[in-house]
Amino acid sequence: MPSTRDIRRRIKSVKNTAQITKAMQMVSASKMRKAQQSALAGRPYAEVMNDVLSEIAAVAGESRHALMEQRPGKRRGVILVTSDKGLCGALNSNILREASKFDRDTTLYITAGRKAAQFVARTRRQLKAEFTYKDTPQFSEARAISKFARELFLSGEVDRVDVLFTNFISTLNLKPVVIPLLPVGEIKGVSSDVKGEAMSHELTRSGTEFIFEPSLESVMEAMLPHYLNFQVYQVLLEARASEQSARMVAMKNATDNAQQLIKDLTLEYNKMRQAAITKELLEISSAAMALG
Amino acid sequence: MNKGKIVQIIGPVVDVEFPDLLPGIYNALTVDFTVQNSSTKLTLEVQQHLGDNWVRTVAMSSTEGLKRGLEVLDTGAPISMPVGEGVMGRVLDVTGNPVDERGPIKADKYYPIHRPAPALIDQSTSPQVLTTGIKVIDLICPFLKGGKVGAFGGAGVGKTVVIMELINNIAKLHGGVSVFAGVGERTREGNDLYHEMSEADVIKQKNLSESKIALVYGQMNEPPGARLRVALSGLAITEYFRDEKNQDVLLFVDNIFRFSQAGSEVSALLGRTPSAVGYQPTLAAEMGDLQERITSTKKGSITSFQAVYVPADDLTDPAPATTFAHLDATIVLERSIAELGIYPAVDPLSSTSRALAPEIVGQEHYDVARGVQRVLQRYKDLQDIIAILGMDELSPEDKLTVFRARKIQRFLSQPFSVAQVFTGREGKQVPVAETVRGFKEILEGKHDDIGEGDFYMKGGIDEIHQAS
Repeated sequence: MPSTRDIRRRIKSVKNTAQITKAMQMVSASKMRKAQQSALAGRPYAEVMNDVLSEIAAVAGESRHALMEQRPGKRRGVILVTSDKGLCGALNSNILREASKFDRDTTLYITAGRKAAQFVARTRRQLKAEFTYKDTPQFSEARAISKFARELFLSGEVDRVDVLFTNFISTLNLKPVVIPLLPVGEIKGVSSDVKGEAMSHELTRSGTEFIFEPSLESVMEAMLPHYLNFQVYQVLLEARASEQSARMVAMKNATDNAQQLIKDLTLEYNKMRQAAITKELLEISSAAMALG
Repeated sequence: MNKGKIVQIIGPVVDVEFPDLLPGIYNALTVDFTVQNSSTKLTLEVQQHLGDNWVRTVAMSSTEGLKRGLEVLDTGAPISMPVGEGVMGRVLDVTGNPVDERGPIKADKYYPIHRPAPALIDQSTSPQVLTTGIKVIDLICPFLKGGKVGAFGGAGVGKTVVIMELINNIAKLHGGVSVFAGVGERTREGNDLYHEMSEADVIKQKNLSESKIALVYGQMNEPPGARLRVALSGLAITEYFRDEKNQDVLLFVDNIFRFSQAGSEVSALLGRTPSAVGYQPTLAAEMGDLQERITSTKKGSITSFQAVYVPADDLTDPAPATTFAHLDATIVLERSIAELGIYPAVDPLSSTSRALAPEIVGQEHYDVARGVQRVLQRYKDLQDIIAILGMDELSPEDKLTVFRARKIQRFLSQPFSVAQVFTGREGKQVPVAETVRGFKEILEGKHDDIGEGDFYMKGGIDEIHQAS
């Protein structure tokens, strides 16, 4: 049976925790708004980009670009996107559970976010490169990751590259998804619609005739890398929006739990305090009576 | 014969006037009187000399029908218990009278219930471990042969069940003599035990003197005087076998707290000032007098098992607190564990034993026991974090610790033979080596892939693969 002092100490420590989680909830709530806006704002552009690319891919036909080359090999690269910090509920554990499903011998990992790198190191998987991205992801960061993946693919070290990240559907609904990045020909729509459903839909073709200036090859040469850069950028935005949402929700729950715990402990403390007072009163009065 | 007269009756406390010669403290006095047309014999024990030739006594049975002016006889000696083979298989009350309706007791020898504790020079302990077949006890708080064990617990957490299981696992296999003292507990339980022992042939109904157990009862229905002295009565029988037959004896006491409680009931009536929480001021002395006699000497040993009720689950209450100091091993039964459905509800973190040392149980056992405690302690420390932030925020190592702790917690449960009629599960007994191996494997992570539910109510570690 704990003493009143133990309970008081526990109440104090839980109060401190609650204060921290409350502060983190506030911070991530404001960051969340921004991150969600950028993620949503990037989607229309990504969609149009998909449409355009599918047109090009259709027209390109036989003259395929190196980035569109389908290879039968089994080796794959995975770009694993997680948060840098914890305290965001099940976000990272969910995505890392997906990550551990890949075959460890034939998979090379490219990580973005510290938790991903720690996971790969801890489970002794093959880490190819480690990237970071800021609270508000920069296009240059995405470009670096995309470039690295491209080179890995082109050098033949891997036969395909996938991206594993948490897709932002709504504040309460976050889903870890794997989307293929390379080779490009395989690509399906990467962005989600505003409702967040139909994550990967078949790209439609309009059938419009295109004229390429100066040539198909040069357009492809410029278009494909940009397309990939932008896909990775959009992924980072989605991941960041998910992270901030998850953190906000997790911290809100934590604060609520802490408040409940404080309430329970305070009740117990008051009961014990009252019991001690009653006991002492009883002792004094009965002793006085016995002596009387 | 020294004679006196009753001059005052206050419930179980009776004042007697002796005009000629005062009886000594703790002398037994007898009164013959009739109540409701049947003659009754009441025993009184002298507690205080009041002056004016009055002595204050405590009654050993009900005082209803007692009158002032009745004649009282001084027996000249303390209450004496019949001892020896004659009491085996019998049920006695506090004054040594049989209550099992099997005729008078044939005994050559009588022991007074108040005796000095063995001198320091005669005492001895052996570092030999007594196995119980109960996993949590053998692992965390192993018993010593000739040691004293207490099972602490609040109301309804299973003290009596643990004591009964110990009787089942130890006394039935024990070659020597056992004595059971029922102090202020349910009469029904005493009755159950008697019949159970008869069925197990520990009490041989055909030839009582060959029985292996003697029962002494002063249960809830008795006045405080009887409950205050019945532990001593049982002890006197035990001492005889230790001192004169040089045997290894088992003494079971259920429940030693009632002894303190009875003491506090008579204390106020005797006019003593109540002390902390209303207990008698002589609480520690009374407990010390009793406990110091329950000890092993060079001639023979007494291994005692005592159930200790903990009022309001508060282990700091003076009665259990004074008992603590006398014991070699303490089993603490915790309500929060019983609420999880884990029986025996032994708290592995507050249960201790003097025997849990590498020199006595061996290095491996010691390491495993401490490892189990460490994992459970870590789990307990993490519980606030889990409650606030959730499991997901734990580091992978802590997560593993939590999973193993939950498995250990469940594996510490065990089906009991005496609880078979309630649970429908067959009782299991596990050898110590098997217990140590089981917990070692869990700590090493050999069973990380098995669900925690599979560890619940199992015997040996190999049983976790069988579906329950």
